[in-house]
Amino acid sequence: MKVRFINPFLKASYEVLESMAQVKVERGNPHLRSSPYAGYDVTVILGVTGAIEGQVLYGMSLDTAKRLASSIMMGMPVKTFEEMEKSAISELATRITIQASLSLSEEGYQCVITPPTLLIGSGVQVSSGDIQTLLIPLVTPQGEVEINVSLRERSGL
Amino acid sequence: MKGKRIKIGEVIPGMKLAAPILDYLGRELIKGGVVLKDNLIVKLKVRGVPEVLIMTEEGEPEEEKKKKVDRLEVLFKQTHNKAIECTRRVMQNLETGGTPDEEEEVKNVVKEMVSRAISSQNILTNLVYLKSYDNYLYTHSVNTCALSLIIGIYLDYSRERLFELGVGSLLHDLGMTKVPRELYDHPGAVTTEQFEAIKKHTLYGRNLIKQMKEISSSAIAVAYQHHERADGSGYPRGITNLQIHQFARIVAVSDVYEALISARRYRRERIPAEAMRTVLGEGNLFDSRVVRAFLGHMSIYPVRSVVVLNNEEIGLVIGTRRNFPFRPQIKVIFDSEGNRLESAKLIDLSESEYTSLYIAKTIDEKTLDLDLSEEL
Repeated sequence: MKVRFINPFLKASYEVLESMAQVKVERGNPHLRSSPYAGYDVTVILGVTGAIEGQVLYGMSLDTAKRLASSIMMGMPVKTFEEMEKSAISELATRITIQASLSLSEEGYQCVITPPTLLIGSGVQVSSGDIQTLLIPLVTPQGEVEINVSLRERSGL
Repeated sequence: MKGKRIKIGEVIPGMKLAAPILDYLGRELIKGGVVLKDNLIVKLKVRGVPEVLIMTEEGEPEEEKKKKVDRLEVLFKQTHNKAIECTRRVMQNLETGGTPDEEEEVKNVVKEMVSRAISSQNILTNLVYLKSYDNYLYTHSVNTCALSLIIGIYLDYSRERLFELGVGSLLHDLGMTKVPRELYDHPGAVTTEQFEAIKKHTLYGRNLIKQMKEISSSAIAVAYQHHERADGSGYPRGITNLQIHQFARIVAVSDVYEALISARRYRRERIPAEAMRTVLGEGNLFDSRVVRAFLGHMSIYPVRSVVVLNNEEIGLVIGTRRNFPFRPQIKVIFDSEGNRLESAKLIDLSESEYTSLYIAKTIDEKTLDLDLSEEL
C-alpha cells in the first residue's frame, strides 16, 4: 500500500463533503488495518481498476448515514433510510472516489472506477484478499465516516 | 408560398405562418413566416382568432420526423393549454362578478391532466416551465395542479384520489379572483395591510368552492388551508401539520415551488435547482413525507436544470428517475471546451457506464446562448 494513494482520498473527501454536505471534515489518523475487519451499518463499496486495482469501502453508522443524507439533500428531514437516502450516500462515496481516481490518474496511475454497491447490516466481515487496507477516519459533525482504501499497483502490465 | 387554413385549436407548436395575422384594424399582430410557439398560439386564442394560414412546404423530412417524436409532447401541451383556458374562463367569470361555474369542464380537464400525469411525469414536469399568460394566476393554477399530481403519484394515490387532488389543486387560488389584482400582482413589497387583504383569498376560495355543488369538499379544504404550514406559522388559522388536510399539505409544496420558478413583477424567477433547494431547506414548514415525495420525483436537479458535469460538458436535465436524486437523464449540448455539439448526446447518469460522471453545478440558462424551448 503506497502512502501516495492516501492523499488523493483525503483531498477528495474534504472537497466533496464540503460541496455536497456543507461539512468541514476533521481527519483522524490514517493507519493500516488488518484484514478481515468487521462491517458497518451502512457500507458503500467501489472498485478501482487500471494501473492500480482494488477497492474502496466507505463505512458509517446508520445514524450518521441519515444525518449525512439529510445534509446532502439540502437539509430535508430524513427519518428513514430508504432508496432515496441510499442513493444520496452512494453518490457521496462515488464522488469522493471519482475525484480521488482523477488525482491518481494525474499522478500517472490511470484508473477507472466501477459502480457503487451499498450494503446495509453490520453482520458482515470484509476481506481485502492480499491487498493491504489503509483506514482513513473522517470526523464530521454528522458522525464518523471510515474510508478503507485497499489498492495496489497492478503488476505485469 | 403554399398555405393551408388550420383551425386555431388544431395548430401545433412549430407550425409556420404563411401569412401575417392582422387585427380588426388591419394592423399586423404577427408577421408571416413566424414559427408559432405555445405562447403565440395561446395569445391568438385569447384574441379570438379562429383560424390561421399555415405554410405547407414539401420536402421537409427533418421537420416531419421531429414532429412525430414530439407528438406526445404536443398532446401534453394541448392538455396544458386546455386546462389554462378552462381556468381562465372560470376565473375571469368570477373576476367580473359572476358565480362559480363550469364545474363539468373543470372535472373533465382534471381527468385529462390525471391521465397525462400517469402516462409521463417527466413530460408533465417540463410543461410547468412554460409561462405564457398575461395573468399568471391561470398558469400558476394549472402548474400547481400538475406538480401536485406528481406528488400524489409518488405517494401511490389511486386514480380517483389523484382526481380529487387535481381538482383541489387546480382551484386552490380561486379566492384570488376576489382580491384586487393590484394587490397580488404588486410591483414591490406589500404593506401589512395589503398582505392581510391578500390572505383573505383562502376564505374567499373556501366560500366560492362551497357554492360548487359538483366539486368535492376536499377542494374546499385545499383552498382554505394551502397557506397553513406544518409548524403552525401559516394562515388563516395557524394550524399544524396533521391538522392540515393532506391535499393542502401537498399543494403547499407545489404552490411554493411553482411560485419560485415563475417571474413576478417584483422579482425574477429562480432556476429549478435553486427553487428545489429552497423547498428542501424549509423542512419545518412542510410535511416531510410530501417534501420527500417531491424530491423523489423532481430530484435535486429538476427537469430543465442546466447542469455542468465534472468533465465540464454542459447539458440540460430532460428526465429524472424516481429515488435517484443525483443521477438524472441529461441532454449534453456543449462539449467540455464550450463548443455546441452538432447533435446533442443523451446520457443517463444512473447507468453504470456513466459512473465516473456527476453533476458539478447548476447554472442559469441565461448565461448561455440557449433557448430551452427549442431543446426540450
